Amino acid sequence: MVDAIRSSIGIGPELVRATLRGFSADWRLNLLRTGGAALLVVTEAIGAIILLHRFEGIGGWTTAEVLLLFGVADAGLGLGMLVADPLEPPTFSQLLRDGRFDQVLTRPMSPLVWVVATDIQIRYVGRFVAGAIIALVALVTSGAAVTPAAVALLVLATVSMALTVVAILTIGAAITMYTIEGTEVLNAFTYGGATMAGWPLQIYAGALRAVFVWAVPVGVSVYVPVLWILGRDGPGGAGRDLLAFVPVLVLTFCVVAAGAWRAGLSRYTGAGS
Amino acid sequence: MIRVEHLTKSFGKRSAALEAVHDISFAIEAGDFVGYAGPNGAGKSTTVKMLTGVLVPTSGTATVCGLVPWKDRRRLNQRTGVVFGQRTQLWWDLPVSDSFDLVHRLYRTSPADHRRDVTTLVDTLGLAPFLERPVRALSLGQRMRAELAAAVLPRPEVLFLDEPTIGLDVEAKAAVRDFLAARNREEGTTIVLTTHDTDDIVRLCRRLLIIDHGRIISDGTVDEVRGRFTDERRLVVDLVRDQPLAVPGATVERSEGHRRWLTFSSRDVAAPEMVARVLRAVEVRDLSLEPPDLEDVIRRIYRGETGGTGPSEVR
Ligand SMILES: Nc1ncnc2c1ncn2[C@@H]1O[C@H](COP(=O)(O)OP(=O)(O)O)[C@@H](O)[C@H]1O
Ligand SMILES: [Mg+2]
Repeated sequence: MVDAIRSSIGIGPELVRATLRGFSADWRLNLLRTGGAALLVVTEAIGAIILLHRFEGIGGWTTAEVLLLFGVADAGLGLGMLVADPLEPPTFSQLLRDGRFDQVLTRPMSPLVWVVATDIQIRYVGRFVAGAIIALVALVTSGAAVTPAAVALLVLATVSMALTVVAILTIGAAITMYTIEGTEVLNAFTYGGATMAGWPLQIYAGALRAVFVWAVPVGVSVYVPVLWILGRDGPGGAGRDLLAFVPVLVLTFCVVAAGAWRAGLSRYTGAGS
Repeated sequence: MIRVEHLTKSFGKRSAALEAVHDISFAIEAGDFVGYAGPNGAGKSTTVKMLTGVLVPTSGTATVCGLVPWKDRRRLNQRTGVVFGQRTQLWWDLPVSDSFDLVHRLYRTSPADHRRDVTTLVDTLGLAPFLERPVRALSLGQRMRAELAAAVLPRPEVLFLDEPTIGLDVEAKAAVRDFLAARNREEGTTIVLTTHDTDDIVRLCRRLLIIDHGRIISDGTVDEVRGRFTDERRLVVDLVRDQPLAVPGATVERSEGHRRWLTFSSRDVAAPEMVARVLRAVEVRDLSLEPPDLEDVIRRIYRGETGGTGPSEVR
């Protein structure tokens, strides 16, 4: 078992390094893309600030408080996509159709780790960094106590969000393995989910909120830790008592995603001839 | 080493399923060199993919090195090597030597063995001139040689090669064949090679499996298969003068300048008698008697002719 894990992950960092060496060849382009990704997040944040300023906060939340959600959601999405971008339906579908995935399956390691490690897209670092900076600035200006616990909660929120994004895209990849042609429906849960998570969950209708708490823990993973940081409470069903559940929900979702991936592999029909 | 029992793979929905491989069974001993031939779409790649754990079969079983490929894929992949002719196992943007290094880490080979193997392979496959070049900048022949080196670096017990010589020029083909023959002879590596190049089979394989429409239609040693149409002979005659040639019992298959290709059945006319008839009919500068060409035999097997029944006949 330990051996299996070592052989799956073991070469992961090596593969990432190899991929990055490929990147360094045209580092200017990649720097530009990374900057572009960061700029996009900043633009969205500015848009939100203008909107919030006009309505003097939303649902009783101040601009800084909402931006804290916003920053964490983007940092988590950036981190998740940094890992899982190669699983996005168009990219992964291409990998299947041109036969590279068949090759991956002849290697003695986890195909999931392989696919992820050989196609890291460093531009997402831009989204992650911009989101993290926005979150930190928002934390300081929100007036909340900047304690080690608050920082730990920020990390928990970011990592939970990232894991959820990876899990969503893993499920998407499993579906792509079955259909070969990629479909974009799951973007509703990754990019759409991150956009939702950027706003206080209480503003959403109950049913929608329930989906993003219980079905796909993309909302809850950002919102609940932030409630604790701000010393606030949320609406019934998505309140601060859920904190202990956040890791459970996220990890359960990851297990479901792993199961979907395995089911996809057993139904995989190959690239054709 | 390899056991295949009633292996079937169909693609698509149950109602409109295409049986790419239909109920095939065979066994391959350790150290054997087996050709797996068949026309395009016969099911060769699908078989290789099932035996390497890429695809899960619809029904039937198989073991390779005692493991069920699709159940124990990772453990098996540690002990087998695969080369798909039209695709690359190497890192496209990295130098060949970096790919070797990643293979070493991936298969966790001992550093000393790895270094020794790389040195030997660079030498035998002539990789030195392009060892530091990125894979995308290699010619097909160079890439295939690098590909073979990467495939044997983990010292696989079984090597699956899916059309490794496709698209290669004569020289690269020869390099690939020499390497594979040596590997099989010296390391005892079991090799399964799919191809539709009969030259590959004649030069390399001891055993030949022929698959068509997903079914194994012939299984035997290359010599047995060749002997399936033993009564067929070909006589190549070089004439002194360019003149028409008609010999009772033989048909002129081809005619080019002073050269004539005659085919006849040794059951109807014994070979010495046929030679005598030719010599009586025309003035001959040279002649040679050839056994039936494997390519012709395979073509006749595809057409469903069985020839002399022997151990190579399948059901
Ligand atoms: N993924 C797939 N989906 C549907 N049909 C496939 C797929 N892969 C192969 N086939 C079909 O299965 C048959 C056998 O293919 P293949 O094993 O690649 O043949 P070969 O390698 O002998 O040329 C062909 O008819 C091919 O079109
Ligand atoms: Mg093929």
